[in-house]
Amino acid sequence: MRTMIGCFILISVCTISCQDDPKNKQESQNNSVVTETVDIEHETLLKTYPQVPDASAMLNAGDTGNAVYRLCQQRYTDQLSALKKEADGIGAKLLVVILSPEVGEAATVSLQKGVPFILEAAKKEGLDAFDMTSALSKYTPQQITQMPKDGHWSADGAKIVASLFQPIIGKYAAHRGTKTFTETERPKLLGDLDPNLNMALDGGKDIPYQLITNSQGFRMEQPLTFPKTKQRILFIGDSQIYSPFLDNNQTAAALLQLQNADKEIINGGVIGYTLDDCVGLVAQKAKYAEPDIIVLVTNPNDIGDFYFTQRNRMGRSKKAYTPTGTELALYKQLFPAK
Amino acid sequence: MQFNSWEFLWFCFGMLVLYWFCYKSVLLQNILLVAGSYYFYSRLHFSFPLYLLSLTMAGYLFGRVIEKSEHYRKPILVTGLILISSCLVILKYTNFGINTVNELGANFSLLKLVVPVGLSFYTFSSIGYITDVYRKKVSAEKNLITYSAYISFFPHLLAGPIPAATTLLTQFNKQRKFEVTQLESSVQQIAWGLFKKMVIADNISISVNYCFAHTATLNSFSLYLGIVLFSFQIYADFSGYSDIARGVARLFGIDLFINFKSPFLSRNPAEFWRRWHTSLTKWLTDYLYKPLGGRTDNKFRYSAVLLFIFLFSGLWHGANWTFVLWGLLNGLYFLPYLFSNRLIRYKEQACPGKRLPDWRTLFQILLTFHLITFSRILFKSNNLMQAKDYFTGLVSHHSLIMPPTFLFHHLHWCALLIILEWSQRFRSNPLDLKIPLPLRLLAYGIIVSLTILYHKPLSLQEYYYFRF
Repeated sequence: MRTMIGCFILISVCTISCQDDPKNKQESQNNSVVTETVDIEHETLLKTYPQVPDASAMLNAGDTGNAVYRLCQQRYTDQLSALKKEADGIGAKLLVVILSPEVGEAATVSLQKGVPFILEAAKKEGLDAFDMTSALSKYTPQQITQMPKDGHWSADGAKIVASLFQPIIGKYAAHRGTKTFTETERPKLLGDLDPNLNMALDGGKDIPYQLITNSQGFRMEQPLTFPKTKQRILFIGDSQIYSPFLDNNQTAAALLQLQNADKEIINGGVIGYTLDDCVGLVAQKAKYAEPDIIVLVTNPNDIGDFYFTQRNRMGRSKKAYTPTGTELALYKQLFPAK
Repeated sequence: MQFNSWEFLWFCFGMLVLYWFCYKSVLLQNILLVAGSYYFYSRLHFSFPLYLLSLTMAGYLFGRVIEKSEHYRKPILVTGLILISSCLVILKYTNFGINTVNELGANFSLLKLVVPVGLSFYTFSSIGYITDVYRKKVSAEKNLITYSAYISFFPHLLAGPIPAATTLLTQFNKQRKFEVTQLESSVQQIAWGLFKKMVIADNISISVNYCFAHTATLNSFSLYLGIVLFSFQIYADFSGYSDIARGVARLFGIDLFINFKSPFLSRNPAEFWRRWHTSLTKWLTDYLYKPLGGRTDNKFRYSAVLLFIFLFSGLWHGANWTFVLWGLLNGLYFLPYLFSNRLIRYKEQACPGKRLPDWRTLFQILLTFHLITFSRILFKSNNLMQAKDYFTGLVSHHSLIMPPTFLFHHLHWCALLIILEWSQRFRSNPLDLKIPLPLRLLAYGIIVSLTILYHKPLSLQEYYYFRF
């Protein structure tokens, strides 16, 4: 009897001691580890319009598809402008890097059309932009990604990506941001991942990897300290920089940190993010990390990601994105009701 | 449709209502069970019920013919055994054979074969049934509906316990009565099974996969933790499934075999195999071990029988050389015990009346656990090369680097499982408490709350033993 009571006290202790166990945080289908809130209208839209077309399907969908793509391009441009304003506000240098594992035969119409557009959009904003897709085109997807299981970077791919980033960050070694924040101004969380995670994930693809986040919600092991003593480089973007299916120490950001002991490299990537998410992240949290350089890691998929179904599914704010008439027409065209 | 899904809950609820509504008619209840079980099975793949139907018909007809025949019983039995097992052999082992031949230099293409989930379980129960009819241990079932209900009964259809006609078939012939007293023990068993599956097994699985995917970089201690966790994962997964199956079956007034009897508290490998997957052990004992001579004074002959049984068990688990070696290794574990006359047949749980094990028992338990656990490297590996890498890493990757922290996150659940099993080792399950009802309800509430709070999100993972 006493033993039994002891066991159940143990259970109760387990309950209390494990309440902050990270593994119980919501893990979305794509393995991003971000706590979410629920909005009824948002939920309704998600259920009513569950399908997400890829950008290539959009571009191949005739006039309606092209009209929606132009709309997405406009949203992309607007958000790039907003991001520049945020970077300017703290005196950080914003760099645009186009990075995509779509190489060789995997290169899509979206990539071919999107790369020139992004370069042009960056140029209009007066931003320095770098296209890594041509440098990566000499590799096959099997060399740099987890193909055939998944299209994200393999450990070798991440090494190549890091080597491509190295000269870019070296070029701006002297740049420093101008804004500092007080401890009272600075929020506790500076990144969008749940803090203090240390867990194995596999994204349902049987490629297990270790995710560690620091106490500030970035995919890195040590917390950032203030006042900063080194140049701070913040990488933002989607899974291409977050790097699912790689351990923390295998990601391009971690490899760059190893090569650049005089800098602090921050991996602020989150799966599924596009530009408006990056703007929200920087404006609300990441700017308080006082980055000197902000590297926006983007690719042409980010344009198509502005389609309303993708925004509703992956958007950071979890607000409802109601479709325009053209978006709705495209949805009906691509996904006719059965 | 998996046990830990809402779909199954509603299916079960609907079945129970209809089942007890027609409690006066055994035939109606059996018809309902057959219909429900075939529906349950068809949810996995539309073609699966065809295999089930074929084997059911074969088992039924051979049973009847063997009973009626006076002169040709043995040839009919052999024909029946070949026919019933052919489906399993062809679907499960053809590609294994092709692969093996290819490794010797041939170049045959692999066949695209779908092995129905649970095929090996209901093949074994059919084989057991016609053999028991031949041995006149049971009478051949005259009613096809009753026999179908026995073979296809959905709680044991996918992953056992492998039913024994001698004890289970008769239950489908009798009037079942709804007893409120059974309700608590059923729900208790289901709750405990769900906890083991959803909290322990599911949460551990990715960490174990991580260790097996990173054998080259992890150090020995990490790999040790990985394989220990796998031992707990597979136990929590399979015993959790069996507990849910027993609990659900009991709601229908059917008593299934107890498939696990705290195997991690075993003091030698022989005891372990009498406590682990007991329905398979019983099947192997009744239909292979005893016909081959069983335990004899000739230790060499006895060793050969044991090794053969374990090789067979390995092959049953999977068409892969890893399973063959796994079986062989577990057979080899018996030999030092056998030749040093220490193969003790324990008849009761360890340390009766004691709260803690004595040092000798603790050593025996730990040794047995580790022997079984190390053999699981072969069980988990996809091929011999991966198993070799894991073994190599385990013995040679010495470093003082701490293992990934998440590997430690699961240990408190494993400890909890063992502590509860130890303290309740004389009862049917850790929730079988002899305390006042309010306290029992509190205990159930805690387990259910833990399951809700700590189950792995999106955890509708396959039960590990479905693949066998």
